[in-house]
Amino acid sequence: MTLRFRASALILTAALALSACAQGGLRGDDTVNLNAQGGLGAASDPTSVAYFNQVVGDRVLFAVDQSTLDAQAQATLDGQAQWLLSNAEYRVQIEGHADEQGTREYNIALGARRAAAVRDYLVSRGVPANRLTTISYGKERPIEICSEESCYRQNRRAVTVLSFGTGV
Amino acid sequence: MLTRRSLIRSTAALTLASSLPLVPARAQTGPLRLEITEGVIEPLPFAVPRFIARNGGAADAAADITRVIAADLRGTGLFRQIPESAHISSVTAFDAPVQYNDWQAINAQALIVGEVEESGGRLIVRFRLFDVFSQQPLGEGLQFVGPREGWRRMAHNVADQVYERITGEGGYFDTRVVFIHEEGPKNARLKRLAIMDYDGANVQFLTDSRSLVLAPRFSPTGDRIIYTSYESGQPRVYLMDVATVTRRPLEAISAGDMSFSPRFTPDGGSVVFSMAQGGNTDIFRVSVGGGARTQLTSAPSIETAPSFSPDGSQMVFESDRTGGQQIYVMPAGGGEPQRISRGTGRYGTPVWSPRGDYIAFTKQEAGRFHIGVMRTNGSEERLLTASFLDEGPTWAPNGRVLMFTRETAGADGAPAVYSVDISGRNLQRVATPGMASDPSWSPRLT
Amino acid sequence: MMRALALAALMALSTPAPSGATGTVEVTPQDLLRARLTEMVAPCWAVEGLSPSARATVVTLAVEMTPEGQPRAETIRLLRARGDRYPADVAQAFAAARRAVLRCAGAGYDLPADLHPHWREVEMTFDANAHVM
Repeated sequence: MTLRFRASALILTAALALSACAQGGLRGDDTVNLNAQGGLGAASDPTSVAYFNQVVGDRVLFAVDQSTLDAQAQATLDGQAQWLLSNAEYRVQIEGHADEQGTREYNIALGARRAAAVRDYLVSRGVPANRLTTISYGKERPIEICSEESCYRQNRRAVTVLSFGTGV
Repeated sequence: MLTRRSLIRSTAALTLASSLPLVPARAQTGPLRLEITEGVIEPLPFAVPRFIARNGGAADAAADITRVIAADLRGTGLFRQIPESAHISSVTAFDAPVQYNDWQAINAQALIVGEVEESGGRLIVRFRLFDVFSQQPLGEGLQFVGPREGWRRMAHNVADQVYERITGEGGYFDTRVVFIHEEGPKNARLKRLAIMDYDGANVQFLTDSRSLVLAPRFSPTGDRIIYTSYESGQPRVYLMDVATVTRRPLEAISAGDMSFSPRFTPDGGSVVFSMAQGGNTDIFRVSVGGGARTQLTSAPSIETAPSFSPDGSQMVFESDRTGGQQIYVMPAGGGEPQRISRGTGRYGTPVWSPRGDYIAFTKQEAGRFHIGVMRTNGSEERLLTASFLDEGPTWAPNGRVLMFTRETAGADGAPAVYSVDISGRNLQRVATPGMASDPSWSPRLT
Repeated sequence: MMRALALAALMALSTPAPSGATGTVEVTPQDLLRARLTEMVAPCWAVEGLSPSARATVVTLAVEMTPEGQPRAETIRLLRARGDRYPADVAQAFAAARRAVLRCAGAGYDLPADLHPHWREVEMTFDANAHVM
């Protein structure tokens, strides 16, 4: 397995981002999470990670207990698929998440279901399956922390996380 | 509560009766039949005078042990301690005759007398239990010997004996709880595997905070823990030896698969767990020693949270095959699952009682969470708690008490471990060094 | 509870039995012994200590009493149980009932010795289903 880094500056910022990451940021394999922090290139550069995260959109949201992709989610994933096909050096890990309104084990399973729904959709749009992995964090990694629907809906998500390194 | 003394007043009626020429007592002398429908619900009053220190080296231990015994008994909600300041008698020697009248006068129903001796770094703890109103010992005197640092366990052993002799059920004080210690803000939570005595003492951390860990469970013998860790980058089931704090993955699983929600089978030889493959979660079983994995459920829905009946013949689990989470029971060797949860709302995390008589569960309904129990056929459902988020019950080894996670709402929401008895009373927060979740109760250690 | 029972016993003395067509006050010594012994045993019946399922189990035990009012422990036996789908519940309910009989005996139940033939053998049914928890 090889790592191909684009720019030394990016390596540095990625390393800094890692040290600031909570549990789960550092993976056991040899890939690097590029979504976590800034320094990911300018959003105006269509080949940058920042562009993917902000303009294409790195996440889709789900209804309570659901893993179906609504029209908005499908539109986002169409954009992701297009971007991934034209930026073939990125690998992807899709994180499935749930809101806190559920039991721990069920939410792990629900997150796995959501991540799989996204992966299957991206594959259906031509992204090679061997570039995609999935993981579920259940309700362990909320991004919004209030206990109201406004936060819950942001937490019921699947996030497409880019990393360097090709092939598996 | 009625006291024996107050009963004397009611003898007037009887005196009257036996002097009245009523219907002559019939010649028949068949049994007198009566029905008792009201008992006592107040905690049973007990006295435990400070254990006698046989020598100077035992003085601190004697005081500490007495304190822990009393705390164990009080904590059950079934016993009320009569403070030492109310005692009339003082116990000056372990073998001295018990002044029953003095203990009756303060309405102590049970009296615990003990002594502690220190000898070469070891402690010898002796105790006797008396039924004050019967004016006789309740069981034999017993002696425990152990290292000085094991004084808490010896105290728990005494309390277990007292509890057993009075209630007729097994005690649960000489037990440990494995749980998840939590630190940090809600959106950057760090979790560590930790173990403590059932009462929150002797906390020991088993993992550092580098990897997310979830939902540990004890083996039936209490010497191993099975849990979920993200240390490989994926949620995977790990097995840890408690004494050596060494761990290993339960089994090799394919890249992309996630295993979680493990639990030992009652014989400790196997583990049942959930595995998500391609987004679908089913339940599997594998021997702790390795070997082939057996798939126990096969459905396109989520099947998780398996737990075996104590005799190993049946398995309870949750599934959302009909839409929301519900609880199902199936034969351990496979077969058609029967749904047993019948109420409205969603049911998850079923756990079979060690007595075999109940299944504890988490219920979610109308934005509230409950811990509840039901019969193994789903009847007699009763909810014991209600809060913003209660989940994940675990049984005390005697099947009378549950611990679970209670998490408060909002941005500052924090989890804590609580206990409640299966009648829904005696809800208590368990002392932990910080935020804590996912408790799992060990079997009795002795 | 105690006062209610004592009152009931006195009421029974002065009130015609509902079926007393003859007008005779049919109150037997057994009625009073029953009330008296019930009062004395109940305070030791620790319903609190029972699991919900054991509490729902109704048990009847038999015991022989000495003329001094002491229950003879070796004679205590379970006669029957209702709601006994689970042996553990029956055992627990029986144990609690047995303890109640023994614990409250103290130096002997205070019952009139001249009526001993009427309370030498006792059958007690313990039913907590109506218990207000």
